[in-house]
Amino acid sequence: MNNVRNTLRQRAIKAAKKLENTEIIDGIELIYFRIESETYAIEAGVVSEVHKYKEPTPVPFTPAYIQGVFHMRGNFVSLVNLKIFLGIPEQNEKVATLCILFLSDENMEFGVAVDEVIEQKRVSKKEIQTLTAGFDLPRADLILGVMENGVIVLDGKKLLADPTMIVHK
Amino acid sequence: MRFSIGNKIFSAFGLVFGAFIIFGVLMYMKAEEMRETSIERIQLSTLKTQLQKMLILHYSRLNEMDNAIHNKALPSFLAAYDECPFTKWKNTHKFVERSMQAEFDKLDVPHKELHARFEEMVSLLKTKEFEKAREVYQTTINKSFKELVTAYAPLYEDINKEHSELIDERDFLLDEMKTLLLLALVVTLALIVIFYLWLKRSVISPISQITGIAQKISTGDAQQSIVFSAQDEIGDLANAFRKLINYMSELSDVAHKIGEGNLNVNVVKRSENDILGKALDNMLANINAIMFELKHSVLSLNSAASEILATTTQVSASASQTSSAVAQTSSSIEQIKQTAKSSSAKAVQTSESTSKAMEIAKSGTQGLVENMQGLAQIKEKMDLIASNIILLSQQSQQIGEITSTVEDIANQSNMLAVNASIEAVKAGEQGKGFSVVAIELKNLSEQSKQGAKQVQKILADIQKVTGTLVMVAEQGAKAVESGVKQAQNAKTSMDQLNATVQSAANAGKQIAASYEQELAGMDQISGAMSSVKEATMQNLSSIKQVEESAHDLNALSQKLKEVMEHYTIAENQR
Repeated sequence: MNNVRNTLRQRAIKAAKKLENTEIIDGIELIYFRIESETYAIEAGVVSEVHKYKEPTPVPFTPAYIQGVFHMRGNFVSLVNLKIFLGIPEQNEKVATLCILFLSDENMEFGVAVDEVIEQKRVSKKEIQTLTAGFDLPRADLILGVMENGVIVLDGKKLLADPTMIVHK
Repeated sequence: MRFSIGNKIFSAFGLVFGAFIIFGVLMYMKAEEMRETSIERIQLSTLKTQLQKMLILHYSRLNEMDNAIHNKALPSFLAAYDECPFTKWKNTHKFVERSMQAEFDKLDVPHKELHARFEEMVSLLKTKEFEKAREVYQTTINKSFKELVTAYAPLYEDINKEHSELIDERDFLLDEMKTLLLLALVVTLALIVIFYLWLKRSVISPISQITGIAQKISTGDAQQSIVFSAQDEIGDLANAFRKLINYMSELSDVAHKIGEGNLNVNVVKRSENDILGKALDNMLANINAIMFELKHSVLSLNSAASEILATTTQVSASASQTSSAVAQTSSSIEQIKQTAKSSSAKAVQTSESTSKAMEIAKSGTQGLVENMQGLAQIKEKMDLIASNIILLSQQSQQIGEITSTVEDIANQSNMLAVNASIEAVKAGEQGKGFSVVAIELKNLSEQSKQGAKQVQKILADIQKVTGTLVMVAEQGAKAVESGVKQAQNAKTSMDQLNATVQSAANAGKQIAASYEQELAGMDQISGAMSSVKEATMQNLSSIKQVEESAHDLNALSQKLKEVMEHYTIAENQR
């Protein structure tokens, strides 16, 4: 009981604080998510929805990073395995994939399988440092930058506009 | 060029014969000449005789004429020229030389003259004019006769001269023939000597040399060399001897190698009929086969000897051990005898003790039955505890399931909060308030998640404890069970013990009786053992001898092996 009271108190203190996010003027809204042990972020503008993970229907003759398709409110949406797509090396411990991040703009819509959606946060654009040349990820052009705490920020618009995503053409 | 001995001898004889022919022809020619001269000489003699006969005949006519004149009678001969024997001879005789004819023709004129006078005289005598006849005789006939004699004289001289010339010629020819004969003798002799020397040099001395070598070879000395070479039978003979020497030295080499023990040699046969080569080859093959067999036999003999030696050594050691074992056995038997005596006494005591033990065992059995009943009660209690603990464990698992549901809900509400914040961002400035609510919702979900985690942790502790409890209860149950089992075992053991003690009491009595028999048997064994000991000692000494013999045999086989290794056996025999 004492533990529960303590938690409630801490919550009250947090609620009483002023909102820090609103003070960042030149900011960007980011959704943080985790794939295996690594934390990534993506602009909140391109994320239309977060959904609980469900197994997609595999489609034959598609690249390995297309895990399959599933039905989403009247539309067929493809599910992209970001690990394969970005060329992130496989790790030994398999962690259950829990969430799907839906990215969309006026032209394109697809889901991204992630292990966990952590939070949404507003950060200053200055915090995001662009990548220097020679970064060893194969699709470094899809990465907006890296933050000081090591979070990799993906460029959602480029990801949506990437030609390799369009499979059947 | 090939110039054989036959050719040599033939040519030598031919040369001598040629010389002989030449000289013979020359001699023949000289003899022919001599014959001619002698014919001439005989002719001349005949002529001379005829001439002298003619003179004497006419002289005797003259005398008759004289007598007739004196006696005044007619002469008894015919006075005609044609009737004269000389004229008849001359007309019939054929002169070999024309000159001689001419010489004789010169006589014709005075001869005719003389006969004319004779006829004149005869006619005068017939008419009896003796005085006139005497006158004619004294004046003309003597004169005519003298003319005939003068005509005859040079002719006779010529004939004599011719005759002496012929004699001179004959003497000269005889001298020539003598010289020729002498020359023929000398030349033939010289030729014979030359041919003898030549044949000696080219035939006899090589033959004698080869003969000497053949003699040496016949004594076995084949280390000879023939230096000369010729293109004849002697050369062939020398070559044949060279081949023979070569053959002999080759075979002797082979034999020498065989003698040295190198049997890996090859005998090259000279021909199909090379009996020595065949014999040597055959001998070599046989020796090889024998040596091969021998080598194998020696090897197996060697190993057999080693085995025998090892075995005898082992046997010897075993015999020693046996001997000492027998000695030990002997002494042990003595001890056993002593022990058997004391055992006999103890067996009686044991018999008494067993009857006491029987009573004690009976009381033990009763105590065990009581013990078993107590253990059964404990077992029942332990089972009850175990079932309760399992129930507790199941309930705590149910609680765990509930907490995972709570965690799931927390996760979903977190997701909902993120979605809400995304919507708030989309709504822009108006959604800011909503954003705050979303953050709050997220915090709540986080807290409920943590609460669920704490519950899970506590549950895990409980599960651990219940797990150990279950194990302890099971162990207790097992312990009780084994206790019951052991008690049952103890009871059966006690029953068996009772029976055993009973039989032991019976056996004790039998043992006491057996010991008496045993003691008697032991005495017999002791006696037997001493004879065994003696036999073992004899055995030991015999085995020592055998061991020595085996040593000798082994040494001998080693030596034999060394000797055999001296021989190299041909490849095909290996």
